[in-house]
Amino acid sequence: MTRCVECGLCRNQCPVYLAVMKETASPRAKGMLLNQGKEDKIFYFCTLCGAHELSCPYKADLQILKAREKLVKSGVVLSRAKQMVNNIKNHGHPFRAAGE
Amino acid sequence: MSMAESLKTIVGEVNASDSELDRNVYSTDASRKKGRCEAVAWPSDLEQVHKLVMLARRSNTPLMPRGAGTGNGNSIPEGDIAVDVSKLNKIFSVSGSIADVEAGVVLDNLNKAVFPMAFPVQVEAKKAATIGGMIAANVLGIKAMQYGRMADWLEEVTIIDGNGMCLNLKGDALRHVAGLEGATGIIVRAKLKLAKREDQISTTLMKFNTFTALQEKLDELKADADVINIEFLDEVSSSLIGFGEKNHLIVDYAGGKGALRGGEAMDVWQAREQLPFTLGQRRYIATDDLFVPAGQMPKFLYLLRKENIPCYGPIGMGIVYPVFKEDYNPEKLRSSYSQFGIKLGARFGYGKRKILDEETAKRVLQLKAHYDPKNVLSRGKLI
Repeated sequence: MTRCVECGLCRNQCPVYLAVMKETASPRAKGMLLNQGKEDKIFYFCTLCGAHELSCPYKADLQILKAREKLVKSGVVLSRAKQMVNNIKNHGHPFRAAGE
Repeated sequence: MSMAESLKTIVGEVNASDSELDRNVYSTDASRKKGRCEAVAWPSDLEQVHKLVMLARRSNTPLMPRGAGTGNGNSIPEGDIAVDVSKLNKIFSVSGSIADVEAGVVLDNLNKAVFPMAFPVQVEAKKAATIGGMIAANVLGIKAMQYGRMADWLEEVTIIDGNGMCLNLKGDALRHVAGLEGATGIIVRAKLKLAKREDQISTTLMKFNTFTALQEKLDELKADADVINIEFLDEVSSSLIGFGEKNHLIVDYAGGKGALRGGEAMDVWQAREQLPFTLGQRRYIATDDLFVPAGQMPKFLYLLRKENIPCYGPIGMGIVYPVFKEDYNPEKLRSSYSQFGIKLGARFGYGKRKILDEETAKRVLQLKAHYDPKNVLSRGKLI
């Protein structure tokens, strides 16, 4: 796995960063947390589009899904995601049953 | 009221934070050195920046202005509130040879907006670097010998100084902000000079077996009035970007003296632009920016080769950038700088490295006393 070197060149490619304009939402922040061995809810704040790799000189793989997997295993799940899982279980559809 | 609550009254509920996550993220920059961030504010206009400075004065809590954080340790707080100017990103106008922009505008976005003109100071981090950050560090661009520093391309800079005053600096006063790394004021807006795109330039790629031969040629080129850029690439750098394992000079000429024109010349410079990243892929991730006295250059380059340290840079200005592999301790090389008379900070600014000479430090102190007597901006930087 190529590690993020935290250069920040990814910022302006990332649609999530561009929407909020905060470093914390940038791919670099996620890379930094991975380097620190930390998982945080911020890993849910990603469209998984992979746009950051277009400008990443090192083609760093941020492994967002793996980070999310760890978060789920440790019980850190967004309430909206929980609701969708419950909807699937109860109604077979992430956005509630037809007619609701 | 906590500091975060005070900040929120100025910039709004969602534009201030003292969460552990935000403080962690804003405690560092591309240098990966770690500082301590008290809180973060994301102002979106000049008035908010003014109010932040007034709050800093009342509470004696320093502010650390921050652009993209792509610098080499220029945005590391030590108990400061990080003021991220990314939301100050309006391009007000592009008129003739002047662009009027806010400090958070990204260089790449500026390049697109000013076409067919060009902003001549181009840095490798152009996809992220902000105009405010580039002014604060007074950066050198890639074609540094031809275009000089950021300060050379400023018409006017608007700052909120440490007294909370909004000042439009012009002429000689631009030296009170360019390269001062936010110590005199938070840069909020700038009028930038634009240039016509290059069309009468030709380029030659020269290769050398020895540093002595390279130095001889360098002396000759410096005396040639048509030469406008001289960039050095050592054997390792040259090899990595496909020029072959020799020391090289990329030389630009005003007019047609050079062997390469148009696309061919552009290919050479684009390869150079990619070099830091190509080196980075091989784990060369730290660099120094050095002024090397002319007579010392061949000896210093020889030392770098002996230590297997790749090196490149605008050698025509006496500036080179040695690049260190992640497992190399640069202190080993740095201990030799004084014997060569080498000075640090040639390109990226100084950050919190206390490396200013006595005269410059005195000048910074005088400016600080005038613009920021309460020392609430970029505390601990430069001096």
